[in-house]
Amino acid sequence: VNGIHDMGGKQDMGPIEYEKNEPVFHAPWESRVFAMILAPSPGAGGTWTRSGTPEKFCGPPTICR
Amino acid sequence: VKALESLLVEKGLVDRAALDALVDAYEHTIGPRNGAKVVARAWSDPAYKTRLLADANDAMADFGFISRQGDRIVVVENTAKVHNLIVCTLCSCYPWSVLGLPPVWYKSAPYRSRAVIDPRGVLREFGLELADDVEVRVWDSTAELRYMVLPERPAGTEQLNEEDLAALVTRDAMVGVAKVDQPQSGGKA
Repeated sequence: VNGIHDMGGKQDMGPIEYEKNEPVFHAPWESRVFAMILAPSPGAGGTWTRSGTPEKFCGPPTICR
Repeated sequence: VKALESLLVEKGLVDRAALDALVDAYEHTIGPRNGAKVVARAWSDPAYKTRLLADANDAMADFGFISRQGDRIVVVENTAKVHNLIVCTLCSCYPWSVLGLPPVWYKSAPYRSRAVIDPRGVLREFGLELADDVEVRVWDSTAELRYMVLPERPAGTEQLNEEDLAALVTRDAMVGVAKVDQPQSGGKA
């Protein structure tokens, strides 16, 4: 893969910025968007429901995240 | 974001309670404490360690840590002579079921670009200086194949039980940017 996403080996990207005690989400909107991407209801082709568990969700396996 | 959520709920495409449950799970349940339990068991039980290195998905399932997207997880073992480091040069692939969501630095351009050409320099930036005779192996993750590092068990922990051992294991050690410190010597979370 040779594209904009392929960062391997690129130079001059600066220092790594490490955040101590980093929260899972930095702002409430991040968590809502994350969940909306992950949680289409059965009607939308997903399998996540209120009673479901994360393990039961079957998203597209080719999405890299 | 609120408008988008309302629209999705209105159209029946998402269940608001499911969104809440997901956020809660990734904030409180699915995180590096899962991986730490796996590491502690591997340190305590040689048979489990053998299984973990042979088929991580199967061994992690003992704890109920099942990969959500059906990807395969490979556990790579650090020793006195081999140090493993994981990265995703393409984006942010990470073993969610055992480490949770990746930190921002893992997804950042500086880490992804340099982990593969200058891993020793990257480790130095994290405060980890490796001796010249230690081999560094960098594992580039994909959506289908993700890695977790089995860190070296620190000296002076022979008497500790699994729970106490797990408390020593940090996320950074399971990514390979840190070692597990000896008890009471502190360390990064």
